[in-house]
Amino acid sequence: MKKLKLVIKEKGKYIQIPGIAPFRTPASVRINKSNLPLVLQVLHKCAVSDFEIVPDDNTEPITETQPIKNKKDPEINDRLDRLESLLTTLVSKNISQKSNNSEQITNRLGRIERILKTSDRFDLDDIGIGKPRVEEMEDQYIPEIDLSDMKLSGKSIEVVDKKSNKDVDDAVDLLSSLTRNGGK
Amino acid sequence: MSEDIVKDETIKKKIKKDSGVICVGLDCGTMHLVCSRSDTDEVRVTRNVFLPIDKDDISINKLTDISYVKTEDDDIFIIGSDAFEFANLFGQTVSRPMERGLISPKEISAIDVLTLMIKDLIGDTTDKDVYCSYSIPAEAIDEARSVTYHENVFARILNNLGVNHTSVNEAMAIIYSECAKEKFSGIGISFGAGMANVAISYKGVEAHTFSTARSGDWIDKQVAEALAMIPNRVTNVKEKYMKLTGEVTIKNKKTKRILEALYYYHKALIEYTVKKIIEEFDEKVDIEMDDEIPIVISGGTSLPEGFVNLFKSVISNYELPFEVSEIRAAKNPLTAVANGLLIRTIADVKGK
Repeated sequence: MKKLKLVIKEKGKYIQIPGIAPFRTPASVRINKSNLPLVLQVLHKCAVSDFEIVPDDNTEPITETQPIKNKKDPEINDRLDRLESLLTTLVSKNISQKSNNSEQITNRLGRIERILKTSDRFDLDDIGIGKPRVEEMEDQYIPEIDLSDMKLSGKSIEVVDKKSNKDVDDAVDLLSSLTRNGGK
Repeated sequence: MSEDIVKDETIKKKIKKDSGVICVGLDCGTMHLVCSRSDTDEVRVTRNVFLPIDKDDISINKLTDISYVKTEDDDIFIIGSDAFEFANLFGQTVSRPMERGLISPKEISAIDVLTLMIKDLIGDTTDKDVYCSYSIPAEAIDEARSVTYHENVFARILNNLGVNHTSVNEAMAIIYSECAKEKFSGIGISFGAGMANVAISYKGVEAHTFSTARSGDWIDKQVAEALAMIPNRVTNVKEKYMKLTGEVTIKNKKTKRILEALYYYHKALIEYTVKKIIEEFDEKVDIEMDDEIPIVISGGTSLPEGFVNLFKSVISNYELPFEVSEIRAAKNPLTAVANGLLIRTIADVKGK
């Protein structure tokens, strides 16, 4: 089926096209030619005017989120490769020694299982690899704020309560002292 | 200006208390934006809703006494309570910058309108250093939605307004506001429009926080679906007539049915939240709390008369993993979060 690429540069839109995972713009997404009328309808509904539809020569669909993932992968993949090679060595060593000590083998397999479980729990944020990059991208999705051409008229604000400044001061002093003394 | 903006922990190092500083607590709720400032005893609020209207549909002259934002292209957005009233009048649904407790992906293009509303709410800060704690929900345990984007949108808005900012959990703000006499130990629950936020605090230290995606909007939606009507109508009846004392004095048959349904769904919401508190406490809280702790209930959804008594009645059916000294409502459920945030901001700024 003929593939096309939808490129939306406008920031901050949340697009839901049937058959494609919802995405936030700016984004570049692979679409089917047969879906084109539907895509155009959705874009119109979302008031997206700044977009391009171009032929897609790539075999893999492209989205903005994929490069982030790919950037992270080498580091984590290297670690997993090293772990895999270590495990292979350990297992082959066990086999070559043809140890009859089943308790020893069981213990080693137990350790290997624990290592594998640990690798399952790898979280990029926990080891501090991906976090700044993710935040950077999150930020990119937020549209620039421009108030220069906007004017507010009328008063939508109501005063609903008058607080006791003494109560606030007392609470501040107590909170400050607890924070200083680690909750004691 | 952006170079002067100080984020998060660096607030603590920035300044000593002086008259050129204003501290702000900003409660960014789904239904209301509430602001409490250190230089005034007034707590200010605006409805966090707007209504885009077609410039051909209405003339500016007809918008006297109405709060609205007008763009250079003559786009008009009625904001605050007026938007709600206009929408009810014309049977439309208001647009909401936030949805179920978080910034709405559908309305992100309205971020400029939201920024103007927040600017107006905070008020004049000319020639002042402004430090603000703004509320964020905890991650929801029953829905996979991240709060990161929401947090970053408000950070950008405050950056744009030249305000130094840090985010603070909404339910912890209730603890700061309402639990000074218990040395900030307790369970704070904020039943907002979009989410129910819970914080378990021990001597001012956050032991655990979580949120659920069920609160006021969930009630309205369930009732609206059950009775085949638009949620706006349900919200309207709820805010005008709702009492959770069990008695329904309204004669109008349709309104009476709405009120009865609202009662059942309030009860269901409380049941759900109490069960989640018990589960989370059992699984996630490591601190041994020997002392009795209070439960403080706040948020717009807890405003109807009888809510706290209904909560007491529901929770009495459960065996709790902690001892409760008292279940009480916040002094002002609408402003407690903003006041708690203000206390936290001043403590951060003053203590450095």
